[in-house]
Amino acid sequence: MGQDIQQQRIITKILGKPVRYVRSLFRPLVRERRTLPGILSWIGLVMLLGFIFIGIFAPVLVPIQQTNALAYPILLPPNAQHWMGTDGIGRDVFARVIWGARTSLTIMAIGALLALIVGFPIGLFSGYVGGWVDRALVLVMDSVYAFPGLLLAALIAAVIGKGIFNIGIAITVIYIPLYFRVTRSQTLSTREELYVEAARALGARSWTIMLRYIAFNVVIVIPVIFSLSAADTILTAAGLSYLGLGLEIDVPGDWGRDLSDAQKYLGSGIWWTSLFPGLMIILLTIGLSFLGEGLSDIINPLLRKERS
Amino acid sequence: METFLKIDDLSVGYGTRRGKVGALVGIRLEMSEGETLGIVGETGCGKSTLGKAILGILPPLTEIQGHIFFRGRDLLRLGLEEYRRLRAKEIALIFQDPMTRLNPLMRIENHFVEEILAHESVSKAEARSRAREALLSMGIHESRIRNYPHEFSGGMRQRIMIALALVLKPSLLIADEPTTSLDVIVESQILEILQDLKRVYHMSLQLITHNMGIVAEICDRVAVLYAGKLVELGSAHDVFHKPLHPYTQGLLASIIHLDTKELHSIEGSPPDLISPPSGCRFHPRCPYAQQICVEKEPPLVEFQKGHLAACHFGDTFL
Repeated sequence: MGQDIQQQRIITKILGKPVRYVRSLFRPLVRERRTLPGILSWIGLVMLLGFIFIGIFAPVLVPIQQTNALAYPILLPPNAQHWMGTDGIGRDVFARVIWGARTSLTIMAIGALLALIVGFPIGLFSGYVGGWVDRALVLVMDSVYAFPGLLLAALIAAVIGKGIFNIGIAITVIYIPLYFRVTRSQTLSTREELYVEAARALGARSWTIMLRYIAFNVVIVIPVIFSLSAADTILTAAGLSYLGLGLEIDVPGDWGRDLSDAQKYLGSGIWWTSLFPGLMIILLTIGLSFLGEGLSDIINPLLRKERS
Repeated sequence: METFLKIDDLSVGYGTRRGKVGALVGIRLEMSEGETLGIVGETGCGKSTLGKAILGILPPLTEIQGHIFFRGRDLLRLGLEEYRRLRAKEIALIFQDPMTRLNPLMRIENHFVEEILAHESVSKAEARSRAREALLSMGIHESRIRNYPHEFSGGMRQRIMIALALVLKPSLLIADEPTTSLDVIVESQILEILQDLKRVYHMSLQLITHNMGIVAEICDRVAVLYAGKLVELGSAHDVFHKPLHPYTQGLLASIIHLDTKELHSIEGSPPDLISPPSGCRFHPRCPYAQQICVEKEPPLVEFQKGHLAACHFGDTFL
């Protein structure tokens, strides 16, 4: 019995911090739920959660066999059995679209998360240390940033090959500079905050200052760029697949490639093979943008108010 | 016996695009243990720079020359880690505008715990109980220890800052305009706290201020800074009754009393520290300025025992 309580305590202790942090992120969302940015964020969040649900439960929703070639007669228009019809090689479009959500979200998670994991610490370090280290890093990051994103991703994808993980990495490289720049500029202003000087006067270690005083005050801008860059990730991934540089042919769902395959049927009035994958790309991107723009409208005034 | 604090020929220069700003030039100053030294002067004369220089928290790339001896150790030649250990443990600093000096995302308790653990190897529980004690001694109830900074008023935050500065029992406390942004009632509370500390812990206090009234009330000795230079140094009694430097005289004449009919002010404005005036830096504003003041820089001369001033005509004011 006593051991149970002990265990309970340890669990709350480990989980307490992240839970509290997540809760503090949602507090402004709840407070602002009646304003336009609040409504936008909530719509975006619900859309994103919907897609995540579809992505996770794709195997339950639709058997994977339906995404195989020649599973059905080709180019059937939407009907009761095939809600979105079948495509040029006899795959069920609905099944492809559902499984495509899984693929897109995986790429998005790898791409945006890796970019965050790499870009945030480098930006923090660069802004905090300053001097020539900072200049060198800014130069490198700006050169990457100046390169057209899709072209760079295509280049990297061509070099490291196809596959979900590789595409994730190719996309990461484009978005690292974005996280870097935002984190760095936020760090530069936070570094000059008076409480940072006060912490130094009280003998705080450099690491403590960087992590507890600066990083925690900088991290607030991350949800905004995360959702905005995630939206971009979806488009880039779809773009790469469309160009034939994306995933292997046996991936059960790939909106970009399906769109590219569907192109040649458009002329003969077969609209369903292009419409549905395209619509999914648009919906997921819109959801993420709503969330990102909404959050940015909520969080940025908060930051400004706190600073003044 | 070694001096408690000895500042020897300290110069601090900030690099700017227009050139080097000599924020402090050739400061020589001594403080003995248990003493309260007031540092006065107008905005931009280098008062705060002096406090930060002693604590080694000037911005990077600042040029610092000279020596600051604290109990025989030259602070400017300490290693980074050694210097860090000294802050708050031996020398502490409290700032003006307490509203922005606490991390908005950290509970008050964690400010204390982090500070104590950065200096001493004690358990977290021990650090917490010391934090509670420190807050109580500043009149803040322990039930508020888990609150965030924004839940406190300005005066309470300044008391928290003082508690933070004192929790490790430093032997020298530098108070940089600790009451400037507070109202008069809170100001008198804070001053009372500082005086209590002097009495109880026999703590040495360096009080940086532009408020001559506060100086008269609690300081043993006064140092007057003008444009980065020390222009007068002496016991509070001497400086208030027989100011030897025309700038100090001007400062004292500008104090407003109940029977003040006409505001007195010092003509002109503080000089540009990138290209300071020749000779005595005060000469463009000095009512007694002669040719020699433009040409020659007056040395700091001891006109009376323990009463120094940097004025060519100091003896005429005796």
